[in-house]
Amino acid sequence: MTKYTRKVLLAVTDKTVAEGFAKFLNERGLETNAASDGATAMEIALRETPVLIILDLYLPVIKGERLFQILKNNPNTSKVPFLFLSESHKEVKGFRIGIDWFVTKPFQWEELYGNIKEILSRGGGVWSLWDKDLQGKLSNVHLADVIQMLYLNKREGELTVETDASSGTIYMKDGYIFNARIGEIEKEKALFRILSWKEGTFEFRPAAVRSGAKLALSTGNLIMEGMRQIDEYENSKHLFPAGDSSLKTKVDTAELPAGLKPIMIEVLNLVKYYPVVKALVDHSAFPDFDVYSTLAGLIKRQILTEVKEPGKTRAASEDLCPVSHAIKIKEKFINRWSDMLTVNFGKLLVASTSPVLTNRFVKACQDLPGFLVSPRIASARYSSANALGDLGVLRLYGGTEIIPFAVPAVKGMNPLLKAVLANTVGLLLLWDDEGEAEIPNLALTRNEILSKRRVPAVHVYAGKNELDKALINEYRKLLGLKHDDPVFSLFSQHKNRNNISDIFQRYFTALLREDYISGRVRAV
Amino acid sequence: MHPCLYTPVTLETMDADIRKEEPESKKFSLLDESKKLSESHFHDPSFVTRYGRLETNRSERYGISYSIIVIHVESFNHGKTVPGKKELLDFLRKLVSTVLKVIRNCDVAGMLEDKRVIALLPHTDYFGSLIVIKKLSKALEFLTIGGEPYASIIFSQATYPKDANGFGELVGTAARRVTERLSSPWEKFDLKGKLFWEIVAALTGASYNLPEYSTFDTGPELELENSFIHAVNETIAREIARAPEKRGILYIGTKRLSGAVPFKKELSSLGKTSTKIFLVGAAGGGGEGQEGLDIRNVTTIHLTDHRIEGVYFTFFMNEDSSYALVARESWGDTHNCFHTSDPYVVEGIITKLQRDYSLQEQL
Repeated sequence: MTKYTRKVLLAVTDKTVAEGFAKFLNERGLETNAASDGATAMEIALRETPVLIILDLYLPVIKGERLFQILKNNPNTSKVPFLFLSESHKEVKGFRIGIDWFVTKPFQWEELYGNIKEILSRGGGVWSLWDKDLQGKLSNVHLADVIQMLYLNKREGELTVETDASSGTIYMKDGYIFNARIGEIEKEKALFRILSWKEGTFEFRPAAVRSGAKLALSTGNLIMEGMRQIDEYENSKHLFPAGDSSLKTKVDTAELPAGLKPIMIEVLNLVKYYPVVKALVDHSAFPDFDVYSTLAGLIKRQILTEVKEPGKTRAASEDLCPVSHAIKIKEKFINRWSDMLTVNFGKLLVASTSPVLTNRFVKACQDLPGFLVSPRIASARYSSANALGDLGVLRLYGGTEIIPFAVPAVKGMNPLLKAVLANTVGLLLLWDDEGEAEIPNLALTRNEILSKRRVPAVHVYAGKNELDKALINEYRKLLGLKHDDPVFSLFSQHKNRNNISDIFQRYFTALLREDYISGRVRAV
Repeated sequence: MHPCLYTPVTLETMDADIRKEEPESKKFSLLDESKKLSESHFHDPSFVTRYGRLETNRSERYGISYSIIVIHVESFNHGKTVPGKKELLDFLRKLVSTVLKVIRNCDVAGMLEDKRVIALLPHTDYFGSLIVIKKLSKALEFLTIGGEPYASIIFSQATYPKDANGFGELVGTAARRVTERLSSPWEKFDLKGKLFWEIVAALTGASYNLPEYSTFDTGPELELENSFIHAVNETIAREIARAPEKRGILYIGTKRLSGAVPFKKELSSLGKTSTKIFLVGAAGGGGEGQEGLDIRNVTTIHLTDHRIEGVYFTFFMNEDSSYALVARESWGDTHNCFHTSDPYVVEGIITKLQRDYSLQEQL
């Protein structure tokens, strides 16, 4: 969905100039976002879809011209006009006469302001601000009243609600609520969350709603149920587990009686992957109040227990990949992939001799700061025997995502490997003692991938034994590695912990050190 | 492989024959014949090269793409007589006038080299050029020479800036693709001469283990579970979601159509996408019934053919990758599977499905 905002992005290095623009625009009812480097500007532009981008031609990290070319090719930002600021005139590749501007310093402020006003007044396109039917602030009118009014007038369109932290949309047709969505969350869960927002703005945009109705109840019943859940949550929240606390199952879930409620089955399954309460609630498909009530009930029946680990805090993501490294990685992605929607992520292909090892790897990754398990793995219908697809996502500074992506390491899978190779930035191989016979297949899979993509390959022994020199050499031989190519162990027996952070740190260093796009392929 | 009805005569062997019989025609070639054409919009290689360079500069300046199509005359399926100069000139005249009819006024066509005609399509991306190839191949399908036999023509394309940095490199890429296409199983195993279901039977009935082309089996006790087939569809749906602006086409054959298709969640959570998605199956499936099939972005195709109930298939193409998977039901809940990432096979099999079931021919 295209987001319609009143925001102007100011990617200007000179603070005085940025403040000048911000003051002018704020006085005219436009909000501003400021960014002092190209990477931050790109992140904001993608997230907010501004109505205008004012930028310095010489921005740090990503230059203004490159940023322009990237955003111009992105369907979400392709229509956003750019205003370039520079000391002297320079030809900008792809400059669109009639849409973009170039202004040299010193500015004629009055003229500049006039031009901005003119471009923001144009009809059509993303920057048109006058095609909303209804808009206002939640502090003035409750959202339930707005929905009631739309229901009575049998309106069709999208009701978008924005707060400082999130944004959600309610889809209405003939006055009925067809669906609601906050990111990937939808239906009642999203609707009830949106209804609970008390601060922020809303706007209704008439548009054809093409998808079918995903909510069975009438508009009145949905609002009543939503308000009931919000009230009950407020009254009972002292009984619910805290959002940042962790949960653990106290009993073997296999021993629980058959015929449990679907919400209980889902919650018990999710606890395995999302032990932190807030993450669990976010990943459940059921409305928040129902999930909290179920959690409280399971804790009361001693099926779940809250784990208090005050000493154990997750390291910051900067410890795993420093900010400077994360920016360099992002730059590398940008140089490699020209289309904007794919420069924000890279796939780390994970091939293993057994699906058990892939699951062991995912479990170890949960200790990484910024790592989230893929919701599909946490779903009940996931078959771990067929390891294919996302295992999770590791978020680095600046919004870059590293996606561990399982691929099968059995014979005859080369066509599939080729089909999923887009955005591959690394390869991780896992094996253990039991899968020793499968190591040649693993090496074949690695060679196949490396013959098509020059990426760092990490070799990780995921067995339970301690690796000694002789064993390492044996594995090197089986994998066809050189005598000094490192082989990692996922677990350290004597330290009683996993080495996942070290493995990723080495991988990131290799990603930066090696010119893995045009340089030679090597193991790390 | 089906035995050929005609003995293929390549232009090279034909040239050799002519040399033996007609020494005066030693210098004979299509390139020479092209000079005798009176088509005012058909250009010589030097003009095409100069125009190509200009188009490269224009595309770079405005940040747009353009494509070229190379039409390679591989051989004449001619058994009785060797085409003479007159027949070849006649063939070339028909070929060129057909090409000029199919392409737009703004496109430029000309001779690239002997036996190769080029069409330069300004402001056209990868998928746009594939559509022009489809139109050209249909228009040239029954092109005759000397009344009866027809020529074997290979099409290839390349897009600037995706495939090359300049016009010369672009032509090189298209030429390389001609060679790739000739060595592709689509041409090599004569798949193009078969019907859709004959292709399915041929591919799932034999054992292949080539880099872009192999077979495997799924089911209990086998290396991969049956759910692997659905995992492939889920993965492709997520690949589409990651780059929704990329043009592509996806056909998923799911035996019987029902609202309970396993990868429904992935398909329904797709936002606005430039990939056309089709769900194909026999009508009247169980599960949630037809209502559950109302999935955004997805068009359902109901086929009344019992053969569809015995196979799962996935055909996916976009500008970055192509993939086809066919899984034919075997006994004991197992499947014989074939998959490939060869773009020519994937494109060909999609065309066959569309033609054999009179679906809208699109890419």
